[in-house]
Amino acid sequence: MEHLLEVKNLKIQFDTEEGTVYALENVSFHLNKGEILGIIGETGSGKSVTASAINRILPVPPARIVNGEIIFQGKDVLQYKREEMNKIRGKKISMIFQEPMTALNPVFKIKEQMSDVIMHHQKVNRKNAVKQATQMLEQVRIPDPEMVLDKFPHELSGGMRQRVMIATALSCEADLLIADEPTTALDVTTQDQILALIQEMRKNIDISVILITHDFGVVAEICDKVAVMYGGTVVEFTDIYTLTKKPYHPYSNGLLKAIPPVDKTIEKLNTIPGSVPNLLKPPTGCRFHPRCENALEKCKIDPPPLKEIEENHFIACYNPIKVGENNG
Amino acid sequence: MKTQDLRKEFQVRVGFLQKERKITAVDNVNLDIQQSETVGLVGESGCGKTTLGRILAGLLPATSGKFFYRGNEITEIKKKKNKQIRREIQMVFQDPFSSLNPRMTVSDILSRPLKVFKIGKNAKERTKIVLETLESVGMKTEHMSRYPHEFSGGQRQRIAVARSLIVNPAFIILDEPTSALDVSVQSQILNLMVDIKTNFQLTMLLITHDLSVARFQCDRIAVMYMGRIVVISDKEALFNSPAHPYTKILLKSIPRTDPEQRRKKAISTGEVPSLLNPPSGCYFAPRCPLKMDICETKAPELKRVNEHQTCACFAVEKEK
Repeated sequence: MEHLLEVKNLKIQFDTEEGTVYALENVSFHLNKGEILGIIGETGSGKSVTASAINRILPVPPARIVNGEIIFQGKDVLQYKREEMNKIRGKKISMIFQEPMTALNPVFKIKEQMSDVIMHHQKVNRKNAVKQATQMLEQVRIPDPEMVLDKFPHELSGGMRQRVMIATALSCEADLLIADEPTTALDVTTQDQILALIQEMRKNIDISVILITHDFGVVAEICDKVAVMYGGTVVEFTDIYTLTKKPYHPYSNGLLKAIPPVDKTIEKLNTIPGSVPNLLKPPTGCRFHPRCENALEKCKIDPPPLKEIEENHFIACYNPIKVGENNG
Repeated sequence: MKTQDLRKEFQVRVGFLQKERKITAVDNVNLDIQQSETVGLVGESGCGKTTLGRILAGLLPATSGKFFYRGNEITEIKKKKNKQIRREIQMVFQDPFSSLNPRMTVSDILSRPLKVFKIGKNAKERTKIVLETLESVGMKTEHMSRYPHEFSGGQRQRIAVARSLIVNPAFIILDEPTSALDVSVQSQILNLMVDIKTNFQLTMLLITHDLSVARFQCDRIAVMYMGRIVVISDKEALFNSPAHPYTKILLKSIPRTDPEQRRKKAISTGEVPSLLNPPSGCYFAPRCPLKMDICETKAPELKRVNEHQTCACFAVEKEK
């Protein structure tokens, strides 16, 4: 089966005043139709850069795509001309962001912003565009769509704004939705509603979703597959059930054990010593080796490639955790 | 530590005409904290948990009400005689990027409170105290002469913790100490705080929106909703047999890290109402599955449900 999206060996660098930032190094993963893929990582792991690259919204320069392909529906997104990409972005690939207040224009009413997007991609007049916007708001379970359409972004709550963003993103029947930390700015009770909404949308309109987050709970709640990123590399890529039961990469394993559980009381948390690397000067070899308990000599020199060690279970590690010793 | 009907109101200007309106951020809070106990203050954004913390730390004056520290009333924060008490109560803030002065070295940052409270006879003795405190939070001698920007978020939070410890406090208020940190670093800081609590025999108030952090660290937990405390409970009771409907919803809303425990649909409904226009009666009533007629007219008071929990809810009271 052909994947909806396949990212192959993506390598991106940023040229800054302080030097070159080695942001992404051979990032690979894929996504099938109707799947929700979680990309999880800490600060500077490259998860947002990856998302922006797929939608081609990285500023080039300073960004430089050194290598790699992003195959979306059989074609390499990186090869599209600017005008061609403008037709795909927002129509086939949509994106929502962490802080919907900054993504929405504060001086226009929701009505204008939503219908602008619809009119840009479809041949409809304003009246019909507004009608379509109303239907979309109903779909994302906004109780009184007409009233919301007539408001400015600041008049809505954070959860409402994120619903408006999702409605706008889905208004052109996109095939892929990229959600960059969509619930990070929200309270848990609101987050719960937004996550349920994303799942419902997937079921109703069969959309594929890439969900970028630093919160493992969010991934475990709604994702089918998960790519764990660290320091600009994908270290583990598999389905969510496999990852939580038997993480092979020492980083995934350590991360899972570092999360304080809400359903039991424990005395001591597992820690990963040190902190995330500075990508101006990434460690040689495996970027995780300075913090890794399993590190070998080889890890310091040679970056491990992402390999399929069991069916649909990819890891980038020379000395993975053995079965039985893991269990996040 | 004990508060009695502590209340904080803010004047805000809203709308085109900038009409002055009053919001009650902290609404008659009564909370006791016993010696060497860690109490968690949890709630969603805007519930008033940080405001309450700042009043207790002496950074904000209360509008009305009293609070007592070891039996002394210290609501009036300007009085000189309270200086000793101020030393004993310290605060650690959420964002270690803005809570440390970027122009001061670590050594300056840590010596400043020593000078203010006249601890240590001379510079040499103060340096010794600085060094010992740095070590107790897992930092090294060579870090003394560096500036905050040279450190990672986790290290900065260690410095902020050291600054609060250096004056030998008895009570520390931690305002979201780990929410600006990555998970792998958060666990280091959480473990550190458990250690220093034992080593320095501290009493703590931990303000957090993250119930799993509270579960890891606290003995008792108070849940706030729109400025009111709705539950005070022993930790295990709160998680194992939550009484208040808000606590139940809050607990169920937290995504579990185990995909086997997935829920099929959203637990909660509605949103937190605005403090500018609060509902009459119980503030949680518009979202509450157990709502009764009385809830819309009268605000419930905190009442003891069992030996582990007090709870402000008419439905819970009735069931009992």
